[in-house]
Amino acid sequence: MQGKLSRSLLPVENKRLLDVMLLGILSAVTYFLPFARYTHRKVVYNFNGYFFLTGRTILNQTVEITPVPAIALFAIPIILTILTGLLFKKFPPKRGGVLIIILGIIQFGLAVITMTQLKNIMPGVRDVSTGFGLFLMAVLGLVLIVRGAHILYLHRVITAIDLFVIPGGLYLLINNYFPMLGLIIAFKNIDYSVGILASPWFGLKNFHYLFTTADAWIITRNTVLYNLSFIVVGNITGIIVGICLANLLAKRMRKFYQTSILLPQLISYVIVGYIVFAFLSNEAGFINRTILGEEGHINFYATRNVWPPLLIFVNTWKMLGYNTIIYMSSIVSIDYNLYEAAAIDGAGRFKKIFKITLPMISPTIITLVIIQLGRMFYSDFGLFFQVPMNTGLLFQVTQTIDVYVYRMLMIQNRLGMASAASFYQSIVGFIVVFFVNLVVRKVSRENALF
Amino acid sequence: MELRSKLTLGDKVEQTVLHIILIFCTLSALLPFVLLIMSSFTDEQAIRLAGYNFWPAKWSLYAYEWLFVANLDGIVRAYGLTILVTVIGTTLSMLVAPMLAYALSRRDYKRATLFSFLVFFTIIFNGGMVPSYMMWTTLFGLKNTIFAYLFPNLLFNGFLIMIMKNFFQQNIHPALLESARIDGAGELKIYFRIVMPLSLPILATIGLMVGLAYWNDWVNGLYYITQSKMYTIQVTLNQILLNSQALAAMGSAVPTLPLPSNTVRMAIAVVGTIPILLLYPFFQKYYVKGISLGGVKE
Repeated sequence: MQGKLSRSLLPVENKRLLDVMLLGILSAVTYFLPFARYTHRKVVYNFNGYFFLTGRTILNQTVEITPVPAIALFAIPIILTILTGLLFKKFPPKRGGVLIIILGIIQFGLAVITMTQLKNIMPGVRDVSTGFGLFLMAVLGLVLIVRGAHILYLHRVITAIDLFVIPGGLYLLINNYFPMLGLIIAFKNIDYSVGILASPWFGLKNFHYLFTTADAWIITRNTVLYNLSFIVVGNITGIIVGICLANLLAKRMRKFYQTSILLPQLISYVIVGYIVFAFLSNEAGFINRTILGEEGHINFYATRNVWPPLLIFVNTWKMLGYNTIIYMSSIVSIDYNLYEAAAIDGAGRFKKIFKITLPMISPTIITLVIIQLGRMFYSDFGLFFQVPMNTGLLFQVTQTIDVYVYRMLMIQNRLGMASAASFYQSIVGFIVVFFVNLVVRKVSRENALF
Repeated sequence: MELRSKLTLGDKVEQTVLHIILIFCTLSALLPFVLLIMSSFTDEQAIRLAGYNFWPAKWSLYAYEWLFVANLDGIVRAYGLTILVTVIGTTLSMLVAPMLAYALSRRDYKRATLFSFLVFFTIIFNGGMVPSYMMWTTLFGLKNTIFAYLFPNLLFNGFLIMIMKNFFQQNIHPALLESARIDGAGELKIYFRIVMPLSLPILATIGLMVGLAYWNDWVNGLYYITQSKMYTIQVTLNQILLNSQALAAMGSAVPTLPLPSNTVRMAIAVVGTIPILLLYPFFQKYYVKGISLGGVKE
């Protein structure tokens, strides 16, 4: 019954789609509207779409547009859109809907690419801005996408639940999937003036440069070794404090302890950086002024060998609450009868811990360690950037891959190095996750992540 | 469990030892905050003489006076932006993320397996910082806009979606949705009238995690914000760390009070932390829950 209803209400079969044809025609019209504009001596100059095809010289030859044959590409989706609307009844409607969506995406994509490339198309013009014709072209592309989706919706190819996926899916597509395409940057010699796509290929030279420096080894070593120490120290302290909390009889005190231990977890590493500075500062630090005094004075921000233990301490300090809570909730859920039975058999406190508690929480331990091992090639940027206060002298013992990428990208403007290191981290990081998971699958299937 | 009166001597010793260990942990967690707060209330000259200390050699409100009286504009702007970003970001996230998670949790949704994999894949693989940075700046022109605080990485991640998906799968029974459908409710109505109200605890937990991430974020500011008018509290702090000029730049063009550089940075850090410390007792229940959710394997 429902099928009949929607068919009679929304006639999309066996008809010409006038609205789609109209969208195509409107898109064609935008060719004759301003694609780009700029102001010179208070006079606004507009450049219509077809100027780009024919080329144009304005202002006594001061501004030139060389013909851009690629602009003709716009004609393809526009003509196809009009044809699709005209011949819609010849298609199976589902395929027609998909076609309209694809055409919309192409049109939108071309318009956006043109927007980003305007400066290269018109190299002679400063401060060129996008004209409304180009915006309209992009918007019409979006409308086409929506219309195509609407047709698919009417034919039950897309359901209401698909609509729930769209906003979140779009975000992951842009934020997570699109940068994956950008991994090719590592193989290019990026020239900002021509854009990413037009930059020349560079082969493996970026990697060659990266791995001939000593930095490549240092950042890898730091990242991996710090992570391994964090895994060992973090989990052991978490288990110990978790056991303490779980065995505490005073319930209110337990809550108080738990709440306070968790507090460092809540603040950002910028603030942690300031707190550490208050302790360690050379002139005014609490440790130098009050504890060590004049004779024992240590210039912490210039002494490399104190930093590995210090960073492990700070990380443990910040993560203790998190680890404790996870282990405590795992311990609390152990069946109390096990302990009573063990007590009757004469097991002491420590025996109970080693024979009951630890074996019972081992799945939690394994899961956490696996997750942490999988992230072995990633580091907490905040910890390694803020806590040593970005001190150059300490880079040898504090710089991890994430910090290196930041410095190369933002401070030193060595994009090749940054993208090579970033690529290296992504790929090796993924291999590590994959490998760890493979091993876990072999050992115990139920603990594997995938 | 046993009553206190039945405790043996051994038990009492055990409990004492536990208390000692935990008091040590608590003190090491809390004392650094005390140092931070006390430092901000210390006289600038006293810090030059005796260093940062747990008890000020000489009390002073000068750092706060400098912040709130002489340079109110700067602090209000940074604070306002921080609050704005946190509120908008958390709201957006709570609109978008549970919808996706809910769709993936539906057993009758035929594309759930595919999309779940695509979400999961973002957890184990990513394109790295350089492509993201290039995309957001060149393609989307995010630099020095409020969107730079909202969109890169912070809105939600695959991990949150997986946690929420599990919650929906375990707590929303398909029969409930079926009965609503028979009563004539559409998908949107089912989602907002039935699924959302039943999921308030997890939404509060996830919302809290997201909100805290927005409040504490400085990385996006570091990468995408260069104008001091667009600094949030955390970014201001970070810029002060990176260059000492930033602190002076934060003040008004015509300085009315000399800059107390040692104490005022601590004061800004306190100002950025206080809201969290004040609200913590109220939200800690949800926060603890969020942590144990994250530790549970899907």
